[in-house]
Amino acid sequence: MDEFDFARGVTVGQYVPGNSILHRLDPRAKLGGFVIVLAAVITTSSYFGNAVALLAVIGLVVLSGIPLGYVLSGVRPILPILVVFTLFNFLFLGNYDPTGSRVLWRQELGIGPYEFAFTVTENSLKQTLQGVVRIIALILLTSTLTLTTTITSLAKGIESLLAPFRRVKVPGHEIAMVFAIAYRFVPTVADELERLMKAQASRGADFGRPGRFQFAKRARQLVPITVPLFVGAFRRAERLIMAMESRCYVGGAGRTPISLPRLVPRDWISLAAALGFTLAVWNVPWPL
Amino acid sequence: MTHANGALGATPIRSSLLEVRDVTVAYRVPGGGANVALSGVSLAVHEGEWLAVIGHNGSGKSTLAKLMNGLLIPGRGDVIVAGMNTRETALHRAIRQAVGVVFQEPEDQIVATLVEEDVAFGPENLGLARDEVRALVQSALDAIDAQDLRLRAPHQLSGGQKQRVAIAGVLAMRPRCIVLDESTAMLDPEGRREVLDVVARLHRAGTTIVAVTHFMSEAALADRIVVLSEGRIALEGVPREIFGDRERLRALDLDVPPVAQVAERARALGVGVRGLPLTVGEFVTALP
Amino acid sequence: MTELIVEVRDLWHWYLRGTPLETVAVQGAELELRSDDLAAIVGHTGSGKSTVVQHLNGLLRPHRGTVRVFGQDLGDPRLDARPLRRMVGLVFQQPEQQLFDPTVGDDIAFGPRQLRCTPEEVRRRVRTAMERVGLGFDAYKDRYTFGLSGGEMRRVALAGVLALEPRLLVLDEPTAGLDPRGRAQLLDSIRALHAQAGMAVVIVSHDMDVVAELARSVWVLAGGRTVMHGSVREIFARVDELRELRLGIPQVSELAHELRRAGHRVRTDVLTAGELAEALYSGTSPSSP
Repeated sequence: MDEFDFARGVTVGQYVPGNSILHRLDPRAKLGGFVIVLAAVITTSSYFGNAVALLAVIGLVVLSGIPLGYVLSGVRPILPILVVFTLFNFLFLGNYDPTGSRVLWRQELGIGPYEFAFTVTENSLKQTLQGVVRIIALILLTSTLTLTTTITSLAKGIESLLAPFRRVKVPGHEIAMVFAIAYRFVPTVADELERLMKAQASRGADFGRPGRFQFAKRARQLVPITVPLFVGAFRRAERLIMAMESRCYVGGAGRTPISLPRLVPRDWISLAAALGFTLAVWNVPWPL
Repeated sequence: MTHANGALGATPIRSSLLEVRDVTVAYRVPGGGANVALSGVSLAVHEGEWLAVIGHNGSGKSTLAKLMNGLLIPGRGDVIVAGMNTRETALHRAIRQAVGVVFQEPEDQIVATLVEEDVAFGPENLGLARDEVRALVQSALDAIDAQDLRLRAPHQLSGGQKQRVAIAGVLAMRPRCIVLDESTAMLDPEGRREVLDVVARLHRAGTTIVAVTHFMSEAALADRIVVLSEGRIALEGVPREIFGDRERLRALDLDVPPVAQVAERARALGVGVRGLPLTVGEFVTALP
Repeated sequence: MTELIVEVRDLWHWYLRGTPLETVAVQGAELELRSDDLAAIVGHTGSGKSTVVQHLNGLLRPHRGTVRVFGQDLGDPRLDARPLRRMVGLVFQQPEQQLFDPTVGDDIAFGPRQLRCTPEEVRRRVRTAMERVGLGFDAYKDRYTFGLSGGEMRRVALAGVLALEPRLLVLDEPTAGLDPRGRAQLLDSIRALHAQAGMAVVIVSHDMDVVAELARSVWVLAGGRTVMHGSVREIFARVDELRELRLGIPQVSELAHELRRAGHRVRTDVLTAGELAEALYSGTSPSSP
């Protein structure tokens, strides 16, 4: 019915106000903790390790006070990709197993002059399942971060953490600025997208699905949307640059430094907990 | 609500805050050739005055606005702001502090996700201390009568509110002159009223105003009017002089404010209308 | 012989219905348009006027109440609204932002091509549409779209909708951001479309001077409801009510109203400078009542 209303429900980087401990942590502690826990998630290579990491991330979601279902819904858009990825890995990864682990299943197939082999080895099975778990955990972890931290807070955190690196020419302020501005325009662009779709639909444009694999046709169908969006984005950028320069913006040099309050005990404790967790995951001799 | 209109007769000698000296601006057009936006334009903006620049799209008025704070450098000629030449990039910070520009699109001047933070953007760029920034933001919000908007998200404000926030962002740098580049063009009548009220208030407090507009009724509020046509100054004078010559304006595809039109027609029919009323209030008092 | 082409009764519509952010945009709006109407829908920002007109070509469906356009009931979930978009041409605010084809002619041809018209028919429609907005066919059809001026681009966008040959043209803030020249040109084009091409025209606007100049009937929306409707003269004579609704008033009407308040004998239902001047003249002549 209301086919054009979707853009208002955009949840990328959405902040949900709350009073959980995660909400109240300093952004620098959260960013640091995020990176540390992320390390555990993506590097552990045991079944148990992965399961523990996923459970821990889910635990963080629960800690944030945001409904688990809502956070999980962030996974839905990539589900098709995930399924395809998993299927391919499952079928073909075993063909390239450098560790020479035990073959669990093998099926050879000849189609005309071509021969295919589907192989699942112990190792390839592990890689496949781990891949899925890691992706899901990554999405949940990132969502938890952005759902509990306002963009301003995140930007300040990033800028503050990168400040010491200014000596080696890392443009910390500019990086933070890019994030902040990109984020600030998400609702604006969402509105524009909605207007564009309605305007083109009013001209007879049809956005119905042409078919599962007609990618070229789909891309062409979207030209009346993508081109004006890009053109609009460039025009907007031009205007924004003029406005920023008119207010004496010249990048990070000479700007009033970001002032964040000192880190309090709970920030340090959270960081320590994250570190402890990751070290544990790495060093515990998991049975599998 | 009364606004000062320059009276005919001897004008006291006032210092010029801004001087445009024989300026030419031309753009290269793809495919060869040049588009001349301004040609041999000379203009002085006096301290404390409200100058209106009117003209059609393509008359060069927006180009003129951008010359005033060094966003554009003329190909020929000079623009002197408070004694500083805009050709000297090292002086741009001082120039842009002295002359602030508010543009046409409310949305594309906002950088932050909180009004308070957006207004602080300018002072932060100047590297001022935190508490000074805070004080400047406070006084700027007071000046536009928007203390209640301080913690709102700019994206959700009305057009008129957004433009007032943009003005505050400029005011926070304590400029001597504010240039409004068609700042009311995209607003509804209420928004326009809001912005013009603020402008009038600032003018009364001594800020120099340069308002680029194509609304004749807005130009009628100014102390002095400059009419641009095809990159050149076609007319210059106080509102009563400019709007007293309807023929010349018509020849430029412009017209007098509706109130003046009524006065002219009524007088032609024999109604005794005194002088040349340009606003509703003036008309009422102009009848016997 | 005019027919009733649009009937909106007790229309309700919510945004983000069913989510925690649900808000009511329209609550009981009414609207009636006939095939020879040149009407205006006015209202404060947030009055629901844009939401109402988006029902007219089926972009939105009524959540409550009825919307009937060219006899079709938009409340019927089985109704495919797409054919309706051929009969109702909706032009959004700043339509130049929706142009996408680098060639003017091709962008305007988008609509007819979507309708599966033959190449000759496409050509004919594009030519006619361009002429109606004052863009010479040969002069503009091969021009680079994004190199045109703002006013020209807007006319290209309008032509893109006209090429569908709608019977009802709906324009949302048609003159927003245009300079006096562009504005006058556009209003002339709209008047011609109504008079010569026989299109019913509705403009949504908060610029009361445009409404006074162009429209014959006015529907006033406030708080998601229709609060006034009538001929343009009737509506703009009710200055105090319009002020209370925080709406703009045409400058001429405002002047007439203030003069009357100051004690002068003038009609307040005037729309143009000439009319007010005449009213002043007859008001001050000895034969006036």
